[in-house]
Amino acid sequence: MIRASRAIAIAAPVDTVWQALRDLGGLSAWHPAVARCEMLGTPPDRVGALRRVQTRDGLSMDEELVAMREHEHRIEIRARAMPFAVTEVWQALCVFGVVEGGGSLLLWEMRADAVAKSRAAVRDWFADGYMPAGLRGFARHIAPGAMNDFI
Amino acid sequence: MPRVFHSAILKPSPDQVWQVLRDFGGVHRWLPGIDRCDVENGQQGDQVGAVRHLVTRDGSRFRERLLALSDYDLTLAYAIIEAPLPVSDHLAEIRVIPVTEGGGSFVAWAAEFACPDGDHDRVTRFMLDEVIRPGLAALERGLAA
Repeated sequence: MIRASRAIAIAAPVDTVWQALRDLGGLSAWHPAVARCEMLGTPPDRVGALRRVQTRDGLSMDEELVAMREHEHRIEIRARAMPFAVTEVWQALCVFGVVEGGGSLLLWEMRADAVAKSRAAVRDWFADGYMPAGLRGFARHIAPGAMNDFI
Repeated sequence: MPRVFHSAILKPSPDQVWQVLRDFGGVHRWLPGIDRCDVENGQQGDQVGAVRHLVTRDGSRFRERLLALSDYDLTLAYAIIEAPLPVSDHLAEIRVIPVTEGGGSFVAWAAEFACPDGDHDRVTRFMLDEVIRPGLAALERGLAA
C-alpha cells in the first residue's frame, strides 16, 4: 500500500480554511497543478458529489466525496477513475486549530493501492508533487499577505 | 461534558517529540511539576493498559492508565483514574503531526471529562495551566524538565 501524509501551517482561522476546503468545486482556485475542476451534477458539499479534476500535466481524475465531517473539519475523497494503474485512491483533508500562536494546520493524507511496477511513480506524483504543491497553493490562496512559514 | 483542547507547532522533529511522548512511564523526565512516576505491577511504561502513579511537586497523587498507543499515527490516549480533582470519565488524546511543509511538529492535546458544574472552570484551568501548556513548552525547549 502507498501511504503519504503532508501538512502545512496556514495563517488563517480554522473556519476560514474549512469554508474554502469544503467547497469541492473550488479546487482549481487554489491548486496550482489543477487546470480545471468541474462538478458533475451534484451540490459540491453533498456526500456522494463527483468532480472531474484536470491537471496541468494532462491527467484527468474523477473523485467522489465519500465523507464530510463538519465538526472535525474533515473531508474524505475516493477516486472513481484515475489515469494511473491504481486500484484504489483515498484522500483525507483535515483542518486543526493552532491554539498557541494562532492559525491552522491543514493535513492531507493519501492511501492508494497500485500494481508493483507503478507504485513508486504514483507515490512520488502525489507525495512529492501534487500534495505539497496543493498545500502551498492553498496557504497562498487563503492568506496571500501572510508570512506563511516556508514560502 | 467539559472539553479541553490545546495545540502548538513545535520546532523539534516529530520523531524527537514522539519518542518523548510515547514513553508514558517516563513523564517525570520532561513534564514540569512531576517529581516521581512509577509504573504499577512491573509493566513497561509504553505498554497499553499500564498504570502510572504520579507524585507532583506539591505532593498530589494521580493514577493514569495508558489506553492506546500508535506508532503508525503518532497518537496516544490515556485516562486519569484517580486524582485529587472531582473528575470522572476522563479521556485524553495526544497527536503529533509532522509539518512536512515548513518543518516542525504539530502537537494537539485534547481531554474530555465529567465533573460537577461548579468545578468546570477550576479543573479546566488546572489541565491547561498545570499540565498541557507547560508540557508543550517543555517539549519545545528541548525536552528538559
